[in-house]
Amino acid sequence: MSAVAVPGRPVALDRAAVARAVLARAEERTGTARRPWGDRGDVVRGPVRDHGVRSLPVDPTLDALLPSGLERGTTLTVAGSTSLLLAMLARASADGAWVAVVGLPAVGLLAAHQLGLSLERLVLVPDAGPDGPRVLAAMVDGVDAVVVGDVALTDVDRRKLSARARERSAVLLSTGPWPGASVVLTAQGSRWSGVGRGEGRLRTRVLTVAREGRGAAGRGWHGQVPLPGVGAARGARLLGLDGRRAG
Amino acid sequence: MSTTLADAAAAAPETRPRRTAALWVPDWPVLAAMGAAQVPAHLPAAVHDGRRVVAASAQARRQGVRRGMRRRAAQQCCPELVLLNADPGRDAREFEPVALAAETVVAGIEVARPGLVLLPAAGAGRYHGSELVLAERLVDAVAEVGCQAQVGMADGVGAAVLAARAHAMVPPGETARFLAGRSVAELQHVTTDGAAEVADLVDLLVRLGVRTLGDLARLPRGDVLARFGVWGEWAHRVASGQDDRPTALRRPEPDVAVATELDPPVERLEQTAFVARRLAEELHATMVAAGVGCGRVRITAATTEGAELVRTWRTDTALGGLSVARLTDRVRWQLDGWLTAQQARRGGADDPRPGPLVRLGLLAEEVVAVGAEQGRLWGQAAGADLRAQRAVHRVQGLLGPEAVLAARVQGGREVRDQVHLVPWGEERPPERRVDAPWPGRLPPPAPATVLPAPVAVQLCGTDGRRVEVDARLGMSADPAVVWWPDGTSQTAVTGWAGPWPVVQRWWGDTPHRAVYLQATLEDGRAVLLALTDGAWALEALYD
Repeated sequence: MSAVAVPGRPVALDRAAVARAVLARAEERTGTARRPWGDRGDVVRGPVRDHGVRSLPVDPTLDALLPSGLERGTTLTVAGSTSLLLAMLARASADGAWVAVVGLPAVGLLAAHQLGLSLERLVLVPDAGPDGPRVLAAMVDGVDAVVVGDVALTDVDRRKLSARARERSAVLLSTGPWPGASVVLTAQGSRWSGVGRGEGRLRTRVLTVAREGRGAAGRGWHGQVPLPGVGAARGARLLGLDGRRAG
Repeated sequence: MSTTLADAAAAAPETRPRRTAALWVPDWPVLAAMGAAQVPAHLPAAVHDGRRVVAASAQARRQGVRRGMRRRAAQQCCPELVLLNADPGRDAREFEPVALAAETVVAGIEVARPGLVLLPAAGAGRYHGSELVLAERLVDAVAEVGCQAQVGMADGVGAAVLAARAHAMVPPGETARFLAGRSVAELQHVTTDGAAEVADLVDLLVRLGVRTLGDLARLPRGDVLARFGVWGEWAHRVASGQDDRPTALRRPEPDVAVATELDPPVERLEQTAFVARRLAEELHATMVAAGVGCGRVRITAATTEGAELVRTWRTDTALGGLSVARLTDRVRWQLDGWLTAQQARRGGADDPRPGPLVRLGLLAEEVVAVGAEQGRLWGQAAGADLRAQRAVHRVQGLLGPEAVLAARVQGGREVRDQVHLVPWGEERPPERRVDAPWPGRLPPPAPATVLPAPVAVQLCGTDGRRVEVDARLGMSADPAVVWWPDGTSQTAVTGWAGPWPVVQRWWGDTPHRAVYLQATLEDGRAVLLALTDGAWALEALYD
């Protein structure tokens, strides 16, 4: 242990710190514990833009909308635009986060792929049935971001799920109203470009989004978001669809 | 030149190839064919590939039948000749008992080709006492399955093969001398995968006056490589006794399988639970005892009607590593799916109609020694992955395996076609290749909401009638308004792109033709509309 002994410091303290770090790493690796957020000595509580442990990263085009990324342990509501929902998750999913989509049988998976989500880490439960709360609870336990679509829930269930997400550092995203959501995003309309009267094709659009909610992340905001963002362009390039219609 | 040879021999102890034994069953293709066709051994026989004789039995050879003869010529030499068809699969199949017999003497062998077995001789020779004893035991073991074999030993693979043909035990270090006097034509017996190239090479060497392997070995290897290429270099290595290819040992690592008969046949799920548990435990115990893990588990069941139900699950994604409880769940769910008609319908069209089950089996595939599993590119599954897998497993336990889906992108033209959905953890290959061009597929971006089933709408043109599209893709009028399914609300169309025709599978059972139209609406939304059989439908929303 002489290798970790720092001159001028008691060796015993270092050994304890090393042991704690090893234990934490082992727990993290085996999945018995999720890395607690915010309360670690080695994580600097920096400005809100810290996309490290406390939040899942989002694409830079959404910075204005979600300045602090998708904060772990919070509940968000995204109404009116599935593309916006998928675009918010794209960066985190590509970076290794797991995403579960519960109760959204109509979600466009090809669009998700083109926006940059990793389908390998996307779990779909199209119809949770009467077991919705239990399914969501299981997902919140193990998955980084859970999208809640049309699932039969009571307000009590919703509050419990929010508490569970907070405890497990997961992100809950709901397409419907959710009491106590910290961020409420509402798509209010979009302007498409690229399509004319019988020519061209849908290319890009600007989505008008209103943000409200609680706390700093939910400060009222009203603005425009370009969609599909950078991720989509990347996905399209990967697919070899560089803006032309194939064939 | 002889000094060079002597020098090479003197330098050999360090660089001498490893001792190799070769076990050769003469005329194996004929023997295998005669065995399969039950031709009496006293009749002359030959194997014929449709053009020429590829192998002849000793009886036939005595009467003048040679390799390379045409059918007519062979029958002329030997009118009672039995001609048999060539079948490499049969040769390999029939050789398996011989290989197994050899394996009773030496644990690791390489089947170079049907009829020829290679094995490292040094260790085995020490174990059995001497190389001579090893050779005797090999011949005895093979004789017990009814084959006459010859064993040869030498330094290096090529020399060992030639020694086996000569029925010779070449002492260590004598290999070069043993090879020196042999004809270059014998190289053809050594090769396993380059018969045509070696035949050409031998022909060329003979015409150039290089007639023996000794002649070839005396040439500088660099010059041989420059003049004759890689096969020349290979021939030179064999000729100089430097053919030091390690034998590719086949390890007897069979798939681990457990199976049980169900008598009386099982019809109800409750009855299967115990069977599943017992089988899972048995498989697990077998694998633990053998110290192996597996990449996939195949579940097979046979019904009273004789149908075979097979489903393969990956153990890393579906089972999160193998444990008895997970395996039991997996088997139980699968049986549940097969026994419940409704779930079988959801499971896929390829499932035959289930009946009572009479047999159930588990087969571990991709068996590897524990600790030798292939990791991912960035290492083993991390904590987050394990946690997610556990969550998925729990949800599958709540809802059934078919309720949790994994998506993959596959080839196709329509939005729905391009996504391949399978129950989480199941191994089912995509139906269409993604790297094919798929001309005519809809351009990106893809719609973010794809309705599970199209919803009928009405697209009216500026003339107030339904928009029609003719065979030349001309529209009867510019689209003006979309009437929603309720029949009372409408939204004006501000722009559109298309129409794009997609005609698919018109040659098959499920023909599909449609015309697609992207439209932007007054309220800012964009939709994908399809015209099928004269009716417009809302396919997807770009929301």
